[in-house]
This record gives sequence, C-alpha cells and structure tokens, in this order.
Amino acid sequence: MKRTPRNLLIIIVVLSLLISLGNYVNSSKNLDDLAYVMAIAFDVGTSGKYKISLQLSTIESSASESMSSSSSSSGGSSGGGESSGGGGSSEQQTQQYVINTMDCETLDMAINIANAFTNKDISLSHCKILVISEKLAQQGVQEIVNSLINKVELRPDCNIIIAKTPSGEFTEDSEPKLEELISKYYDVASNNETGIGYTKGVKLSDFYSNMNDYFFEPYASLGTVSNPKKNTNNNKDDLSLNTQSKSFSSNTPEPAIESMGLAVFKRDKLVGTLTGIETMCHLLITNELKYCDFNIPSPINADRTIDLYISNLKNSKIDVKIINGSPFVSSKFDVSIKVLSLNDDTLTLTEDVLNKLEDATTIYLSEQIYNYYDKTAKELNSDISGIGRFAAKNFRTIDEWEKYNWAENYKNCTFKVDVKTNIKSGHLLTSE
Amino acid sequence: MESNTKIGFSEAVCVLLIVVISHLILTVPKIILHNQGSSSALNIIYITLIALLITFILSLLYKKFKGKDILDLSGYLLGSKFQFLIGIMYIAFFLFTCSLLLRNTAENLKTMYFQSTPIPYILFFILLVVGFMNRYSLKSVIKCNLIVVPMVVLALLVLFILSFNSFTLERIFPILGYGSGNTFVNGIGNIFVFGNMVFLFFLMPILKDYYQFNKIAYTSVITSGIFVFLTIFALLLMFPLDISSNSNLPMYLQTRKITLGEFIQRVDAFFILIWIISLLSYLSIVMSFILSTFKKITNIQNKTFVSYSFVAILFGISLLYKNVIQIRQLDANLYKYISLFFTFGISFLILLLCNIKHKIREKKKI
Repeated sequence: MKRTPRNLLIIIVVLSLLISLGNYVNSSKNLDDLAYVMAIAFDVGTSGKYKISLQLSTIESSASESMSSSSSSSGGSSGGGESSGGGGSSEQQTQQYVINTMDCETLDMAINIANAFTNKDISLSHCKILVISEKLAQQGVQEIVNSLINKVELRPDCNIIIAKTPSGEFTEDSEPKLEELISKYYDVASNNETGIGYTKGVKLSDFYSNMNDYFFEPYASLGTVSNPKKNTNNNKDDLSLNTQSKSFSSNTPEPAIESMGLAVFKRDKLVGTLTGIETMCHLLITNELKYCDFNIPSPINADRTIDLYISNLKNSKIDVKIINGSPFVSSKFDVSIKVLSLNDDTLTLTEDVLNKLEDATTIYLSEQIYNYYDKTAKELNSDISGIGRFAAKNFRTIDEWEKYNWAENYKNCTFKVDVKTNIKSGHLLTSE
Repeated sequence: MESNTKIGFSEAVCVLLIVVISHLILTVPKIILHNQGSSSALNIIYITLIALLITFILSLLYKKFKGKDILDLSGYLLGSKFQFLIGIMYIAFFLFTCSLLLRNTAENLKTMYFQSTPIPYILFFILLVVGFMNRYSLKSVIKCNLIVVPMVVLALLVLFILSFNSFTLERIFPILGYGSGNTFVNGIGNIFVFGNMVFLFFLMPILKDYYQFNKIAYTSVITSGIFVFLTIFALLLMFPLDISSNSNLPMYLQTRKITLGEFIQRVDAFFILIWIISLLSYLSIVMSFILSTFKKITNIQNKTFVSYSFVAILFGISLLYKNVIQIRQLDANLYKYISLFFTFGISFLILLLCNIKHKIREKKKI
C-alpha cells in the first residue's frame, strides 16, 4: 500500500512523457497525408543545377485500379490535378499519376517544393525507378547518387535508367497499357533483362557500390521512350541492337519504355553506351545471362541469317596474369545454343550442318566478346565487368594494388577468348 | 555478487555472447574493416587463435582462485581500499562503454526511423526498460538474456545465409590487406573484439560449478570468434572497402540488400527490432554487473534504489557527447584501447600478481 503513491507517480511521469513525445514523432500518417513518388527523373536544369521531375501516384487511381481491375483504365475519376503551382511546371498526365517538375539545386529541395505543391508529405518508399538524362550523366552523378543512397525510405533496389530522351519526357511519356499499376509497370519495364538479355536492370545499391569499388566501374541500363503522338523518338534517341543495325526502335501505337543496352560510366561520369549484343556479352562474362535470342549469318547460305537461342551452360572462367606489367586476361565460355530458325538451311540438322553452325557461332560469339572487351578497355577504359577482381590475386597488399592503378591499366589489357559452343535443335518436330 | 545468484553453463556463455554481438552490430566491423582492409577475415582468425591462447593462460592463472572475482582478487592483493578503487574503475569503464553504445544506437535509430524525435527521448525509452529490468535480480536478467541470445544468433545466421547471393569472393584479395605487419602485428590490437572476456573476471562467484569456468571461457571465445568472423566475412565480400569501412552501420546496409523474392522486401526492420532487443539485454546485464560491483565495494543492503541512480548517470553520460562524429571518434580510438586495458591489461595483471603473492605466501608457510 505504501508503494502505491510512488508507482502512481512513476505512471504519471511516464504517461506525460509519452504524451509529449507525440509532439515529436510524426510517424502517425495515413494515406491521405502522403504522396507516393513512383519515379524520379533528373536532368540538367536551366535556372537551377538540376531539373527534377517527381512522378506521383494518385490515391484515387490506385484505389480504383485495385478495386476493379475489370473496369476500363481510361475511365474513372480524375486523378488529382492538384499539382499546380509556381516554381516549376506541372501537368496532369492521366488519372494514374501527376508529375511535378522543378528546377532546383538538390533532390531535397525538389521534395520540399513538391510538398508545397501537393500539400502532402512526399514519400519515396515506393519509388521504382530513377531516370537520369544522358546529358546529366555525362557531367557526373555522384552528388545525386550519394544523396539518394542516404535516403533511408528509398529502396536500394530501385532501378537506375539512363535516358536517351530528356528524363522529364521519359516519365511523362511512360504510360502503362499492359499493367494495371504504374509501379508494376516500372517493375516489369526495368527488370526485363531476364526476358531479352539485351539489357540489365541495375539497382541503385549496385550502382553506388560499383561507383565506390576498386574492382568494378558503374553501369546502368539504357532506355528511351518512344511516343508516336509527340514524335519524340527521332534517330538520335534510338537504341541499337548491334553496331551494324543502329536503328532499333519499336513501332508501337502508344508511348512505351524501350530498354536496350547499357550506359557505361567511369567513376560517376557517363563515358559511352553498349549495344544490345554487347550487353549480351557483358552478361555472358559476368555470368548473369540466363537466355537470349540472337542471329548469325548462315554458314550454309550467305544471304540468310539463322536465329539462335543462347543460354549459359557453365560459369565463365576468367583468369588474369600480369605479364611485363600489362594484364593478360584469358576467358573461357561454355555456352549452350538452340537453333530457332526454320528455313532450308536448318530444317534438316545433319551432323555436318550442326558442325558448321557450331563453328560459325563460336566465331561470331568470339568476335562479339572481343569487340566488347575492346570497346570497354580501349575505347571507354571502364572495367564494368569487374575483370579487376580476378587481377587482385596477383597483388599481396592493397598498397601494391593501388600503386598498380588497375582503373587506368585496364586499357592495357590483352584478351584471349575461348568459346566452346554446344548446338542443339530447338525444334519440336525435327531430329538433331 | 549476490550470494543467491548461481548460473549455469549456457547462461554464462549467453552473457558473454551478448556483449560481443551488441558491439558487433554497431562499431566493431567498421573498425576492423577500416584497419585491416581485405585481410580482415584473416586477421579475425588470427586474433581468435590469440584469444584462445589468452584463455588458456587465464585458466592456468585462475586455478588457485576458484570462486573469486576481480574484486575479491584485488582485495586479496592490496586490501579493501584497492578493491574499492578497482571497483570504481570497472564501474566507470562499464558506464563509458554502455553510454557509447547507447548513444550510438540512439543516433542510428534517429537517422533511420525517428528523424524528428529528440535524442533524450530515444535514450529515455531505452533506459526505462533497463531501469525496470534492474529492479529484479541479476539472475532474472541473465535468464531473460538466455531467450534473447538465441534470437539474435539466429538473426545473424539468417543474415549471413541470405547474403550469399551478394558475395564477391575475390574481395578477399589482396590477401594481406595493408601488409603482413599490419595484419599480424598491429592487428593484434583487434583482440579488443573479445572485450567480453572482461566479464569472465566477474562471473566466477556466480557460477554453479566453478570447474565449468574453463569450458565457459573456451566456448565463449570460439563462438564469439565464429560470429565475428561470419559478420566481417560477409561485409567484406558484399561491399567495397570504401563503403563497409566508412558506413556508420554496415550491418544495416547488409540487411537493406536482402530481399526474399518479390514478396518479402525491407527485412531491415525485422533485424533492427532484434538488435534493439539485444541492446536492451546487453545494457541490463552490464547494469546488473555495475550494481553488483557497487554493492560489493560499498556493502549497501538494497541495490534497487541505487539502480535508478546509475540509470540516470548513464542517461547523463550518454547526453554528454556533442555529436555523432565525436561518438564515432571515441568508438574508433578510445574504446578500443580502454577495452584492451581493462580486459587484457589490468585484470590479467591483478590475477598474475595474486598468483605471485599466493606462491610467496605458500613458500613462507613451507
């Protein structure tokens, strides 16, 4: 009984502290208080250092989509055209999202301005992609990436895309047609390397990691948006499948994200791009290629091409030796190929045809891999496939490694490529 | 120590493990990776072997003093005044390490989740639990810890296994890091990660079976070594050195990288919860040892009233640090050497001198 007043006092003190804590803790927010960013686009600013576009999902659209997937996506309520305001331009695209674009010095400043536009707290927790314009990437992205990686609410697995088009247009013209939700649309669009093998989704955490690594140089997926309505996809924004055919572009009636190739960085600056086939070689070297379709000139009939389906059999084996101060890189690949083409050349796959195809494929792949090595080493001097990690075993201490300066010596590499090809028929009704 | 408190083998090992794990989550990986670079994993194996050697020496030196803690030993060596001095020194050491860890955790929590909450509030709510726990006996706190440690250990193992996909094995090269001298000579200082061994000097009187002391010591050193190795190894292989050695909380970065398919993402919140519980357990245990030490050197009857005072002192010390930079500098520089001084310096010296005194006395008897 004597302890009752003391316990009471303790309870009162604790309760009063808890109540006063409510003034400081601002985590009690409901959906109405938040505006979720789906994509952030960075470009070179005109009045500020950066032109930053925040693509915000509207609650009304998300709710209607999730509640009635059968209803037409073009119908429904108007999607929050509340994002008007000074300090930047803003426009309502569809009911699914609004875009706030502003010229400012930092991302935080952009978020603050967007807060003022929307009268809501901007949340980055559902952001799916970060789009950086090619022009800005050439100037350097360290400040942006450092700022993004330090944002706890931003998921480190959101993808970075380097846009051939101005990054603002990229988010403006990204209109999901096949997906219900824009977040899902970005998920699919930026992670489609498993489907084609001509590009690779690069996470923010991986990009940051590579930027600070002494084994790797950073890279990001390369993308553009084709919008037939605006006729934005002119030739200069085209993505290329390989060095011969520079005009890869889809001919869709609706705006769509096109992703092909990789953007290659040296530290934080964009130094060049890779084509689709070069990206396939990159994935082959880094053991990230699951499968990919490509075609080679027919070894039987020079006028024809043969479609092949590649998948990795075994991990590539890369070894680096330092000979007379220069790195000698030998790499071995063991790949499995299926023939997809059904033409006169491949309809009957005899032993002789298979051997010819194997030889032709080996030569073609070796050439492509040599080209890839040559381009990354001699032209771009950027070790995006992390050959440096295989060279590190030649050095005993970090001081020796740093003195050698691998990042600069990568261009002096001599490469030896050894490809072993196993061809099988991909046909259902023909024998091997 | 409390006469009615007797703990068994697993409880003692868990006490020693929680000390290592609590520091491992926050500061230890950063310090090791920064000092050793790519040879960090090699260095951990090396210092674990040295720690085992030290444990062997400790077990030899403790042979004649079964059931005696460091306070009993200092009393035996130079009397009650020296015992009082040593007691106060250890209390100050424990308060310093706890305050650093506490403030560091509070700062990290503020950065991650409570951006607008003042630090005193975060500290208060952590210490509220510690104060409440210390109303009960040391045994109750240790029993609670027996539940917490398996949880934390499991979380660390899960974290390691889920990180497999992000490993780049070649990151262990260049194998000697900043050189063989740095790895094997300067690197001996990294034995401070086995700072939990200081509690071996306090556990003896509360052990159910004094003869299990050696087993407890070896088991704790080996298990601690394994966990330190797994953690450092995972961080070394996952991140470039520039990131892992400069990040304020590298293990948090590790948790942020983990996703289980498309369904389970952002598992970092789960690990943070486990880590907060482990911190509470660690602080409660250390506070219990502080109270027991204080009780022994001052002969007070009831330690409950004093416990709130010590919690308040800890709260005050935690607020003394100016900013995060100061805390991290103290962690990287001062904590390491103070921990080495108390764990492998003064404690061993007292034990060694007690052995010499014992031998001289025995010779005189003969």
